[in-house]
Amino acid sequence: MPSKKRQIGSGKNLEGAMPTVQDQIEQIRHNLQHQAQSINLPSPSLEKWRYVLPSTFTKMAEYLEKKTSVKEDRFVLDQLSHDKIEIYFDGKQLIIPKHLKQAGVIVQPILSSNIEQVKLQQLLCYLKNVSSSPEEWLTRYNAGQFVNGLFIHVPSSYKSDTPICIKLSGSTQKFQNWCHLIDAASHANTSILIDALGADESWHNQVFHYNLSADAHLQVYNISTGQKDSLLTQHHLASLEDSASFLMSSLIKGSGFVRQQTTIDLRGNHASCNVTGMHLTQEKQQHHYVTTVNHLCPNTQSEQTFKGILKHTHKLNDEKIARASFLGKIYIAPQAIKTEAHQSYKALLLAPEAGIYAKPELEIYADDVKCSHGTATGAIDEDMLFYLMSRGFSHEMAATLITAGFLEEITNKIPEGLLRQSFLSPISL
Amino acid sequence: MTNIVLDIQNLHVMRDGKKILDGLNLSITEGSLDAIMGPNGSGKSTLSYVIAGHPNYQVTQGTISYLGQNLLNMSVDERARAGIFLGFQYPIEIPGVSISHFLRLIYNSRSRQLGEKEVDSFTFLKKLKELRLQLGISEDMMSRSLNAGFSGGEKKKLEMLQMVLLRPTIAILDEADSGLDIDALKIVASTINQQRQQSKSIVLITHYKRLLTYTVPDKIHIMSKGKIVKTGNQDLALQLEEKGYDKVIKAPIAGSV
Repeated sequence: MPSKKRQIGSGKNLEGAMPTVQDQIEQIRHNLQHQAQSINLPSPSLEKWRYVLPSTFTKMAEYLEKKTSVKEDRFVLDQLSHDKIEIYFDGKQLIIPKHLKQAGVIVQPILSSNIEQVKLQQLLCYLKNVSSSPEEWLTRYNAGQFVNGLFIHVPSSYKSDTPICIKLSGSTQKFQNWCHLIDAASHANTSILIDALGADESWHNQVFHYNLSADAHLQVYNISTGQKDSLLTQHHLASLEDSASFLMSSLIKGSGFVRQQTTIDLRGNHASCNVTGMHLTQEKQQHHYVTTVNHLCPNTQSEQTFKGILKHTHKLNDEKIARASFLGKIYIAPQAIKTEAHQSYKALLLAPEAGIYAKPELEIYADDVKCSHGTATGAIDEDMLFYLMSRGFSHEMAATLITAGFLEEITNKIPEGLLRQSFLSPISL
Repeated sequence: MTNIVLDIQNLHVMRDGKKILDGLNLSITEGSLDAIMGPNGSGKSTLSYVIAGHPNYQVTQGTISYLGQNLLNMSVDERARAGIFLGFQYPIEIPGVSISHFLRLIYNSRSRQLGEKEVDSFTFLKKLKELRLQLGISEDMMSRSLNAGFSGGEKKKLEMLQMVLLRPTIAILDEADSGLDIDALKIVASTINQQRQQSKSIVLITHYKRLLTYTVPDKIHIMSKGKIVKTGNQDLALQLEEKGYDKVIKAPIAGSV
């Protein structure tokens, strides 16, 4: 039964009438919450979680124990008189730039009084289809617990090189489950910069759902720079129709623990995605990338390029060394002929004790496809260091140059201007 | 009296437990051009690496004095900043490091060292263009990664460009002539001659006489089994060309200085 206390927006469940979409959403969330309580947290016995340190699960369990009920946040839409490039979403306030409104870009909390029924249908569809796999427990938990999130709709007329910048600055809640829906209509073309700032002693469990219609082009730049004692778990799910293209570029630096999962479904002919990621992991941080690209249609293309740098100055025990992993999977369905998919992960170990784990996977059920994958891990090349030092650079400066050069394959693809400045500022190499 | 820039006495060097230099003596004076020739495996490249401070070589005995300082107590970068330049036989490829950015960094760093003013990007690019044209280096090379995917000749020209920008007191050029066509060889020789005119000391390590046709050394040293076995003038190079290393090394000293 839907909870009367949790009625949202204008939805009303009159006795005897058909349940509204809002009520259906509440019902699903209620069920998901109930199911989540009976399932255990993921553990290292699950493939997609195998490289996460056991202490992290203990910490997650502590958060779950403390935070069992969901409190509703109110969202205030503040219309500014001047244009502003950034949208701040801290769970309480949302500031929308005027030029976006004028261009027909919708940015609003998902659960607000003026959300269109069609968008609620989309949310309903997403909630109904959330995976029941134990490995996806956090995504399922998010669907059951989320208080709110952003809904962004990019209309087909909207084409802009200026990114829509979103700062997710964290709510006052220690454990937060936001779910964001991003919808790009046919022929839309834009970039979104997401800056997830985790506060100390907080766990942000976020889900981003991207829906790209035919010929839509969406570029997402995602920065994760939380405080050292923060946990950040993200799941980015994208669904692409015919000839749509999705670029996802992420940078993880900071936070005690970050696990970024990306699942992309190439559902339309000639749909393509390019997923890149960098992690700069040090001291006792853990950074984990989990990506899955599902080629479900012919002539689809995917490219995954990930690079990582690990370093620390003190090794105390296995629980206190830098650790990172990359689990990358390419799935090619039987019908997805003429598909091209490539995946690469390279890591530079600046501390030999740091732990790096890589597992590339190919699951191919179609003939006539081109696929490749590869991983490489190594220390800084001594000859490179010698060469640069022989030109007068200190050891530290030489290592910095080599490190920046190592990441350049990814950083050089970030467009010049504001986006590049914002996206690369945390690494300042 | 001519100033001695580099003075090597009784140098013994090992790598991975193997003796490579065995009591080598060599003195380089200010503004001189010395050529070191010798058969494969005689230790020529090792000598250049040891002078530059490569960590994989262990000096077990002997001294190297640079302008009166104990060079062996200095790190690789300290030696470079003190004015020692090594032109690599096989320049190392460093992906992702833009050449023009790298060149400006080393130029300004050396300027600071020499107490000169650093230059802004515009002034540097102007200077770079001038040098680039002199060395026959194309503009598109400047936007590429350092040495990455370059031909042998391109790499050697870039080493010359770095030498000019770094303004060293002494340059040790390890096979600066290998992989060069005749035009590039003349450009390299001309750059060496210009450095010489500015009283820079140059040590050329080479297998062949052809570079020495365009830039005539003050002395030619022949290395064999980890030490200098003969020192002479240009005639020594001619003898090597005619008779080969084995006969010249064994023959009584002719044309020595």
